[in-house]
Amino acid sequence: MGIELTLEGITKTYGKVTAVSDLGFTVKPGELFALLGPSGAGKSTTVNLIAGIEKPDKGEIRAGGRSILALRPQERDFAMVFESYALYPHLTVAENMAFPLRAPVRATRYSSADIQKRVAETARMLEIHELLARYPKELSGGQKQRVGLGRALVRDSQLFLLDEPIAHLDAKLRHHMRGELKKLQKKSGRTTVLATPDYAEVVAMADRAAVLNHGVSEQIGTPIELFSRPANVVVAQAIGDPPINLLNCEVANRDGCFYISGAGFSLQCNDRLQAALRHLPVGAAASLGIRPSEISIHRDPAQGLIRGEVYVFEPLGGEAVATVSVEGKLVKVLCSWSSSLKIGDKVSLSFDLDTVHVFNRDTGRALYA
Amino acid sequence: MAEIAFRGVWKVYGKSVEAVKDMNLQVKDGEFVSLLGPSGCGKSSTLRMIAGLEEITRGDLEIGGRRINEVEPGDRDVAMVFENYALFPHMSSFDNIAFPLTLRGEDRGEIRRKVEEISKLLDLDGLLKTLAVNLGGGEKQRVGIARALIRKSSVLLMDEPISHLDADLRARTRGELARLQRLLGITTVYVTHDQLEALAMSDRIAVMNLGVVQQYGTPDQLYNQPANMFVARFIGEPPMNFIPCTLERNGSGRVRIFTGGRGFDVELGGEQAARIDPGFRGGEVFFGIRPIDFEIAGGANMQARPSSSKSAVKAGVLNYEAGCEHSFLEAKLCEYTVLVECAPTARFSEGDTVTLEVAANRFHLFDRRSEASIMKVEAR
Amino acid sequence: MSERKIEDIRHKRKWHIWLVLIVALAVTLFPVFWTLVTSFKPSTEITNPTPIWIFKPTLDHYKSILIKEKETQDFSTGSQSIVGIQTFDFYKYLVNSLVIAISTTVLAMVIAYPAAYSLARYRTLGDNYSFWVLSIRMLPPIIFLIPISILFAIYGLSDSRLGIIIAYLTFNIPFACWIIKSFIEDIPADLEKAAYMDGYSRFQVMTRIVFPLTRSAVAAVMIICFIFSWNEFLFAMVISFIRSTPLTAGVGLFVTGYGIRWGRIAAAAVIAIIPTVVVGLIGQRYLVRGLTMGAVK
Repeated sequence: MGIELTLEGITKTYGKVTAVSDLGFTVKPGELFALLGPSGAGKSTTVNLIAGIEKPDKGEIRAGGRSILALRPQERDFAMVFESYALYPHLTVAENMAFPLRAPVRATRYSSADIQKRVAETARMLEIHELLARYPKELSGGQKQRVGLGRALVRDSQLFLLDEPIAHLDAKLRHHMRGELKKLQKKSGRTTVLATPDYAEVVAMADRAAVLNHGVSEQIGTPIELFSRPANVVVAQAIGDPPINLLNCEVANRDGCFYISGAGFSLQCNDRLQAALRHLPVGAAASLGIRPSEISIHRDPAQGLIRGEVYVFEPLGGEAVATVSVEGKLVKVLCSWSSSLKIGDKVSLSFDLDTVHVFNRDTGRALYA
Repeated sequence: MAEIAFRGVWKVYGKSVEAVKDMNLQVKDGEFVSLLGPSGCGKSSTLRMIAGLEEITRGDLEIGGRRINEVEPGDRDVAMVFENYALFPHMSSFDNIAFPLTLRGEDRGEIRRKVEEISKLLDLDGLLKTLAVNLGGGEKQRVGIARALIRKSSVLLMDEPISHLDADLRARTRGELARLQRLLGITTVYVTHDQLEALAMSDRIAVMNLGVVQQYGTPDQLYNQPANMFVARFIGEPPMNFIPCTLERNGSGRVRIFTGGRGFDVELGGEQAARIDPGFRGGEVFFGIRPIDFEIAGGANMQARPSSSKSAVKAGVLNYEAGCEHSFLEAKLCEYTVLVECAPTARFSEGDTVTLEVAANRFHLFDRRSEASIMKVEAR
Repeated sequence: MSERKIEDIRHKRKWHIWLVLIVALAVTLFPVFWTLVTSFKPSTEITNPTPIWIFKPTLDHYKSILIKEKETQDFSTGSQSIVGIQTFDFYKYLVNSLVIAISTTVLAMVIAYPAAYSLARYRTLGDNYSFWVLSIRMLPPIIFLIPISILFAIYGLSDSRLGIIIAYLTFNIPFACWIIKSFIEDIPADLEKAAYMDGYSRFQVMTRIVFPLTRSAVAAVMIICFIFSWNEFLFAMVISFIRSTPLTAGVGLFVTGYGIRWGRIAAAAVIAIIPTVVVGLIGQRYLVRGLTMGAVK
């Protein structure tokens, strides 16, 4: 059922603004591929280019091996779900869902009875069969989202394009829909491209993802790869909340052994870091990346590796985020609510050398053995 | 002294729209209080009554011990930060911040000194000459806050000031605001619909719904001892799970909680049973448990908790959602779907069976009819 | 000012507003009222220097215009004596008015709608292009009077309904385009994107998605075009002669060399107002929505 989608060297500019630059990736048949990035990163542009709503300035797009650049959106036979749902306000839910099946371009493919059957089946699967006679303005956000989904599912399209489909749902519904969307996608076996700024969605749903930054793809890989082996600072900061802490440090080589020192700390590197730091050009600056969940905070300033002062303590429910000022730089630490730290408390931080990342500060690239 | 006291305050729009009903609330001097609730709950109306932008229909509002119902907004010594910044677009940041002082006719030199002092505090030094229209969202917000703080009023009011910023800027600004308030010690009332903001910054939170304050307490109290199901559902993300059960008291001080069909059947004794309000004799209840408070037998827990006894149930996995810091399980417990937070390293698939345990002091019970909590209130 | 005083001022303001409204209404409606009264007054009493309020009403004026009658016009110019026979043919004028107004309205919408759509959705010629095109409507119509008369004379459009329709279209099309364009811009682009993805062509999207969603604006614009065309006097007077004269110009014929037939003018005016009032009453819901929504741009 699923086709392969390939983008090569895609570039798109709007006047002076480059939305997408030399973008390329391949989505395997049946795969759920995510485009992760903040607003302005180029995700929506990429989705529009795949859909055919926009034309790239340069590059090639192939679906199922054949170039689709010359095809208009209605000819590409892709189904799209929009962030704003884009339900037709003057049509009922049933008519909305039947709309793609009634398009003149495929008028001969579906008979009237066929259309009714498909709409009813899809509605039942999405649990919206009771809403078929209602109009979009009478529906809640979650219901509208499912109608939009139904409209995309109701036909046998070649590809799914999801543009931030669950962005505006409340937290509990978002959790639920992540699971539902994943299941639906796997069941239909259709190749899917998902654009989202929410890394949690990517980790929960995607088989592979591309991290986009100002129109450029920083890294493509599985969510686990992106999380545990980020290629550069941008990718490391894209995944995880609060984002990874980056501490500037100096690297010294004494007797063939690397030492890292920075604001308030000086450490001998373990084997893993030794191997990684060998890739750092001599004289280049480095930075240490430590995730907030990998740092421990101690009330005794003498206990840990780095000394600092509590800048602000924010309880967030099950856990808390403590922001510690380390010689002027702010480090965020995930800790428990019961630690009740106050602004100005002197604390110390410790972390495991096995979990830190090192980056070349000039290029931003991560260093690995 | 800038305590704020609401005594029997009502706000009615027109003849029948009761936006705020019989509010009795006190904000201590220097305290950071959040008004938290969904849209339409009355939080903005309450804030605007403090500011003087709305008339008080009934009741008394006092600031610093003085009744201020009839006092003009300008005379109340109250400063406000708005959701959409409300800056003069074609004036520079400096002029915007200085505006309250220039309006009062203060001396130019004094104004310059005060503006520079406040912009240093809010990290606006380099932006003073920039026109407001050219600032980014976060910068505009800081200018709005600087403007509010420059008069050194006794009370600071903030109406969803960071809701328009995108996620990471919001998280950063949240921390900055919390720190700023602590350092300045100004009595602050903060309106928001985001419970995370309220928990992170407040000394106390008033959760409101349909004009009525549901609970007013510290973040700890609201999170660990919600007074009713609305508060329990609203605070904490992901929201609390609720399972409809029946509660029975056995003779010997033990309590039995079970669902029909015996899928969930636990007996509590001793200290766990003692957590329940002895005044509640028995009946239909909701058993509430947060996703993070489930423990998965086999060690895939989020946090190890010391607990004296647990109540274990079997549940079937409907869906597993992988995550970075935590993963989630959607599991079927009897015929109810619950969300369970687990460690990121855990791996489950649809169809697996897990044994879920609940630590003694982590569950909540609510009367099914009144939705009020039936747990004993502990001093925290 | 404390809150209590603000309440008082709100009260006072209401009172002033009522007064202003009543005065404005009186000033606006008085001519209509006067015309109505005049149409029932006997001729002699109309021309009386002091206005007479109490009189015996007569239907003579209505009878004389609704029942055919010959009116002679004297076109004598010095040496030559030409007497042309001009009939005040009420029904011919009514038909002309209807044909012209309805044709203008329908044609304006049919031409303006796709134009508005293109201006709204395609930015190729730049944002200012549409402004220049549509600002034609802002020019005082009278400056086009002579050029149009000359052009029409050259192309044989003088005294033809088609000519009048074309003249009216020069104003109605930009107007319709202007209003419809801003309504189309209000429709989220996502809806059209969704329709493309669902398999529809640009034209099908315009007719099946965009048009139904702008129905109220279309209705409002058509009502305004109709009323404008029906009421228009200047161009009607200049272009038409005998065949194509609509009601508005026809009424002008009562200004004769022998005296002004006030009673008949009044009667004809009263009858001419009726269709616009009817259309306006039916469409007023659409009119207010249509005008104000387009204006807040």
